[in-house]
Amino acid sequence: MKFKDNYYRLVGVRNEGAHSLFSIALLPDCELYRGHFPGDPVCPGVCSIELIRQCAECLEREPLFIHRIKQCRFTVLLSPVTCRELTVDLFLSPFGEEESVIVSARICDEQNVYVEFKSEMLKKGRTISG
Amino acid sequence: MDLEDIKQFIPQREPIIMVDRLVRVAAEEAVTSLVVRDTLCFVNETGCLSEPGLIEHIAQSASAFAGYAARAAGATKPPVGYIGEVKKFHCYRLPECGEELFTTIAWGPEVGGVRIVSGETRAADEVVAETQMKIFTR
Amino acid sequence: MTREEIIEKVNNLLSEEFEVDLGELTPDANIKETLALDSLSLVDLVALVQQNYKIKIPVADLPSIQTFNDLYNYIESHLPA
Repeated sequence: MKFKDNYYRLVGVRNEGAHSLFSIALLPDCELYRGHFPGDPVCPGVCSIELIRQCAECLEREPLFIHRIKQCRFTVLLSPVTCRELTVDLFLSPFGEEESVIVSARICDEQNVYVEFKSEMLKKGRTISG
Repeated sequence: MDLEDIKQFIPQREPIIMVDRLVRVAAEEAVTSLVVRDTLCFVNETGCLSEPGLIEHIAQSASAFAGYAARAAGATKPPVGYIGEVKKFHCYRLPECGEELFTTIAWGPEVGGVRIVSGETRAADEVVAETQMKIFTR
Repeated sequence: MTREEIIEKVNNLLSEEFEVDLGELTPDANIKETLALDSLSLVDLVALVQQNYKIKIPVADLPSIQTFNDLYNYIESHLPA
């Protein structure tokens, strides 16, 4: 399934200190909502993880492989019907000898924090260093 | 109970069903399977099942186990469960189309509707991903 | 296992799992506040005791475990023989 411009649309990016803030529009017509769940569209938690990865790839300008997720909390349920525009607040820090990057992220809007995420992602495309 | 029709056990429907079969069920453990194919939602452009796809597969495997247990206790519809938290997820490699995944789900304690689950996914007897998760039912 | 050994082991486990300094785990401190437990992480406490001491804490017993001292007492009195 195509993700960018099918599940979400990137509206804009701005920096705030060391953080990058991506404003994102959720697209309610995405086909996955037909099955998640019939008559009750709910954003799958894993789609928030994919969204964070793609924002991090924007900053790093290369593919990133989600090698480890230390913790990812889905604190409030997300739905494309009730929440049309989101902010992905990203903070990247290098880890190891430039092999990987620590991605800390939050997905929120004015009312809620929906996701808190901390992961180690590997650069150098999709190869795995073990 | 016929284990073949996975839709009895999970609330998700096409195109986001990420479990083929409930292979084996025991008191606190179950095994599911999934053949990686390009019709799956989370197969990326390189023809591999993505990391989020593996997590969703493990979550739906846990949901199938919960659905089986609910049906065995007389429920008519599978319970709708959500991922509350993913913890200590580790992905070793991305499985390719054609590979068959076998995932073992182990039940942990449950408090206040939040259950700890651990999952390990193997392809050709080699671990491709493992994680801990919290599933809560609304 | 003596009480002192229980306290030391439990505190080390809690400090690592919930990323809290050992110094904060004083006997009369409230567990939920000190470890910042919420509906999602409360079950981690139950899992930690179950994995490390083979003690299943029934949900009904949870209200009686408010301070770390309560936890030490609960473990001490429920340790499998």
